[in-house]
Amino acid sequence: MILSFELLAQAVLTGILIGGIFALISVGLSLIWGVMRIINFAHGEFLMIGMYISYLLTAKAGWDPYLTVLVTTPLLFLVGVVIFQVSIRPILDHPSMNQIMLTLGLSLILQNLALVIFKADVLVTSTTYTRMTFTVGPVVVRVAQLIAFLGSGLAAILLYWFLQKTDIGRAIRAAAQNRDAAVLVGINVRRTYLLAFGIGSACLGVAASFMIPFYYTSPTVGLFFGLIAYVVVVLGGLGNFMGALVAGLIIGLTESVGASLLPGSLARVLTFGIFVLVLLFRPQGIFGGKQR
Amino acid sequence: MKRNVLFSLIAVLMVLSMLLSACGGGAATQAPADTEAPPAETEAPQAVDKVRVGAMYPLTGDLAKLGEENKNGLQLAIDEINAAGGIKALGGAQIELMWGDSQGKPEVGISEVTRLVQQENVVAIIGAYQSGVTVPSTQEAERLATSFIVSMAVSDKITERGFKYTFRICPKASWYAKDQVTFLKDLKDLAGLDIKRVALLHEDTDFGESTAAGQKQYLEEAGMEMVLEVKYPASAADLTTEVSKVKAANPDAVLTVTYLNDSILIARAREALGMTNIPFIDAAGGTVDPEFIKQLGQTAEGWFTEIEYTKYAAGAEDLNNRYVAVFGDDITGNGAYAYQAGYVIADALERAGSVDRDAVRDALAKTDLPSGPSMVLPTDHIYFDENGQNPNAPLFIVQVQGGELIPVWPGAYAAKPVQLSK
Repeated sequence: MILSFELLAQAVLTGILIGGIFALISVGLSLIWGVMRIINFAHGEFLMIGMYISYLLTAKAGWDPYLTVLVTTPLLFLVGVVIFQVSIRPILDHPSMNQIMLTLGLSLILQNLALVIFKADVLVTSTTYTRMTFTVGPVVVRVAQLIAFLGSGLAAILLYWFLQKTDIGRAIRAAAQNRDAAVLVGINVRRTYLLAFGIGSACLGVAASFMIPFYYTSPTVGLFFGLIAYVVVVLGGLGNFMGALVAGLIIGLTESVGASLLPGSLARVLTFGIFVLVLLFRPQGIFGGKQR
Repeated sequence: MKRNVLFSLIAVLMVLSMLLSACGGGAATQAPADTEAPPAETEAPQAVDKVRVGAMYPLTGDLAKLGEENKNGLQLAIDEINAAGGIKALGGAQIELMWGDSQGKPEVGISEVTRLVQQENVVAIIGAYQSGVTVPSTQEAERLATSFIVSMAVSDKITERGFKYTFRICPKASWYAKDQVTFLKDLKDLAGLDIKRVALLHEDTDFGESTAAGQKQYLEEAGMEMVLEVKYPASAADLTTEVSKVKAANPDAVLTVTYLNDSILIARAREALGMTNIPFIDAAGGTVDPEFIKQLGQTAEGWFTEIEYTKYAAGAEDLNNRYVAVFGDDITGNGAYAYQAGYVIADALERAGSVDRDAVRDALAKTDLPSGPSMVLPTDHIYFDENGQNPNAPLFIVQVQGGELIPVWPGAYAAKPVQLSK
């Protein structure tokens, strides 16, 4: 079929907007990896928790969906901190396979807990923003997706500023660069890890609240977004903040433009094909420096 | 060390992606098991005043809730038949339902059929809701020369194997596509809409692919042009691009095959892209889930989908009221077809006047039930063709109107006219 300009423009816009969300989700994962070299396979499930909380506040308590950021963000921070203290911290020095298995186990536990509490039903809520659209030339812009993109961008900028300019941020970066040196200059590395895990999880709280006006939640909603986040983080370079942001947009575009060119799940093949190619030929990521 | 991490990462991702494809779109209602099959009783040889009929559905396991809809419908019919004096040709013998529980598993289905026939000595079996269970279970019933009445299970091949003892009341899977296309044709008379260009939009598992294959075949037979086919993975994060593609093809109507999560994304994209003037007709996918309307509200308005039964159909209210009085919920397609199966076996027993399995089989083959209290389906009569398939099993096309699924087709059973937005 012929790909018209209108269709391509729509696909590019949708890809960028969705990519913004992918980027924010991935930045959290990347931060956690960068600081303590742990891949959190329960990352998508943390997002799922955030989405259920935002859903309940919006659909059941009548909150404005964007107001729920004030609850989901600190709550996800807390979830991250508690889970870190209880389960991640004791195995920080264990082989990485153990850590992967542990977070994978966590992910299954959280999914099944959600299944017990909320059943398998897909939940969506129609908010005031859900049905708003405007057009730019041939392209339809969905307001909720635009707000999500802008919100994600703002959150990423805030996080970047925090890591660059504040003492805690510098401590986190120091611990990421060289753990032993950080200890030597008097940084409390354990506390830094705790904070990094909390902040990485809090990113998901932000993403969850911005997604609720246009997306559904279900116990397995985190599977897809978790998987995308790993692809993005690998593409951007494990632990690379800016890399994760750009890679998020690239994967968003790949999914969307791919879907306009290729039938069905072939677009998905493209996304994961990129993932495999990067791992094979540039494991430090397209934006990664030399492999340490 | 780093290599190890990467290898582990790949391994785990592979596992996760398998999980994802297994769960994608698998959002169908799953209820915890709360119904148990009654324990098999060992009784003295069959008394003359009782006829044993086997009934097998998934009564425990993931599909227990849906199995219960079947069970309740059948139980209601048998209770009515017994209260009205049982089988008169057998001296007013009462029908005793012997329950089997397939647990949703093909191998359990087979062993339950064996048990019902050899230990419980039933004259026929009704079941089994899932095609995966029904295909091997009917094969076992065929081997044991015992009639198997399929109240619900839609796989085409169930009645395409030349079996003597399999009788199916419900429609075949391919008829969902056939009725969609017939409806498109009828839109000219119903709403003055001359459909020429049709786009297909469907998820790409077997459900979507096989239904779409049927859609293509029937569209061609009807002389309509398929202008575009868009497939997508049901677990997609966004379907705006896919729906944009459909819009760009400028079709007169869109046929969809969906699960619930993707139907929500499509409905929202359709509205956002200003396509509400184009009719979307779903093949009984995610759109028949009550959550589709409950959660989308206004966005769901105007959608068409197919269902097997609806309380809003002309003449259906009475049955629904009786069902609600006993079980609380509205009767579903599963319940209505199981209810119908109860009357089909009672009718066959009356005409056979015997509990001999072959006599019952021959009576079933000659079934011809006209519309009335003992035939509640939306057609003038039901019977079985030489393959044991009931050719008169029309689906309803329903439209979301005012937050309810209102039947608009077939004409004689429509509750309200089709509404199209400009």
